Amino acid sequence: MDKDDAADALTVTGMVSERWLHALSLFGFFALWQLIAQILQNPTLPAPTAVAESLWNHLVTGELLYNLAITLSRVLIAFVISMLIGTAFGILMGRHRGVNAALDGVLVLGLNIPALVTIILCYIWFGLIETAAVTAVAINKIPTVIVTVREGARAVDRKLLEVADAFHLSWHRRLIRVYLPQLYPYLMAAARSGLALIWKIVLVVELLGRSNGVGFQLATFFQFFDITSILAYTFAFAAVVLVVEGVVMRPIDNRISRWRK
Amino acid sequence: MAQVIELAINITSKLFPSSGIVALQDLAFTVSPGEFVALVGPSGAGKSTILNIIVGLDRHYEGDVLINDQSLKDHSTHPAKIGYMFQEPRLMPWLTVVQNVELVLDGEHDRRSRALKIIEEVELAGRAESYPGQLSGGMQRRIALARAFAIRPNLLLMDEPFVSLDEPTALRLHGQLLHLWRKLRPTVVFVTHNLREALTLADHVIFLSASPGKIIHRLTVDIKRPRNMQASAIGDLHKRVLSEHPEILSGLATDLDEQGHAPGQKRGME
Repeated sequence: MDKDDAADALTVTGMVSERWLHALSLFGFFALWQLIAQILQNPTLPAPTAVAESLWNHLVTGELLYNLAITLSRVLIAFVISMLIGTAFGILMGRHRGVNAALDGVLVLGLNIPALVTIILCYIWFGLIETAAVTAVAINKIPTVIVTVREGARAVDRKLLEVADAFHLSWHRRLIRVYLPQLYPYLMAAARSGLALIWKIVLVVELLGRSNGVGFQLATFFQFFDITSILAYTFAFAAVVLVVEGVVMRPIDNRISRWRK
Repeated sequence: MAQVIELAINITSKLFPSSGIVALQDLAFTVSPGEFVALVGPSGAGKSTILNIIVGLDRHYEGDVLINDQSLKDHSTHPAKIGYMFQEPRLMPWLTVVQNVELVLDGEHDRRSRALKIIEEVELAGRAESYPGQLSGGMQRRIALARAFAIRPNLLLMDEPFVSLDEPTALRLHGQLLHLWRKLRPTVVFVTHNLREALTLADHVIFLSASPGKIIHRLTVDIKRPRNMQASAIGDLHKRVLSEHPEILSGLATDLDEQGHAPGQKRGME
């Protein structure tokens, strides 16, 4: 009993000091940055205080929020399309050797085509329109979703599916209660890495062929050499990513892995 | 109340094309409504294959399975309400105990209350909201037993459901199985390689040879119920069968010790 308490106390102090370390390292980073910026006095390295001020200005004019919203909606649409198509093909290729053999070559090709190439081709073939932008992002993401989900489909426990068959469960109950829960960890991994990749590609897509969104704004600031604004946008963007992780991804993750505790 | 099920098996041959192995040959037996039949045979005798055929998962065989005089091959959906118990509990680890039982119940409004009731019958009402991973092996089997009975089956198929359990746990599960069976009276086909277990539970015991599985002996157990695996009457019958028919049990006798546990199989492992 005493031993357990001691162990608990240890982990608690461990967590506290870990959180402190986290804060401390961030604070140290900004302090160092401020110091170097003040010593150099160079317009290409604005101080964090200047960046914060710029962030505030972009925020109150509403233009930052507008562009963030545009980019977010593109990310969301491309993400949903990629996950749906990637999951469907991942399951098919994981379950059927024939399908896998037929599509594996295309998949390897898809995994290795540079994002820039698909973006350029989509803009040339479909024009500088929204559909082209979202399609380009989805094409970049779908292959990685397929690869992850295919692993999951291969690892599905046949014995549990036999239970569903022996009790003659309906196909949708079999899918939702027996099959998909076995894929959840893989779908979660695909979603996490998917968001990370899509964030990055969407900005490139916006830079090359859209007239709004964070990527377009960054391109504009680049032309004016407005490094303060570029950094302000970067931090706003990072904040959104953190919020999505904390408010959406982690709660879903906790819910579907509740039984493991 | 669901109709009673009479089962007539007549499999002339069952071949596994990939390996070329003949799993079953000239296998015919009938099970009367509400009867408890045990299939006993060495590993590899095709006992699980028989259950797969009865449940309708395996359709590639020569011969016929009649359920109430109608061929299984003529049905698109299975005519019997089947409860099934596997060698392992095979509960969904991501569902709670009560959700696991609800899973096999049809979409009616009282699924949850019916699931809870059957869980109470196997004396696990207090663990209804636990996940299977939090239960002992014996408890998981009790939930698997509850799941098999929850649908109020008229045909119950059991594939070595109590293998590798310690003796007290196995005895307790036998008691619960027989209690539920007496209440609902499904027709039962129970597969085991444990002769003593078969003699304790079944009305009739059918002995299978080693591969390809053929029937080599039939035995009617006329010991009055309730029975107990440790009772002397069972022990005497066990001895008598072994001494009168040493040849038919060659497959069993070589790889089973006195209690019917295969060597190398860890007792009380779970």
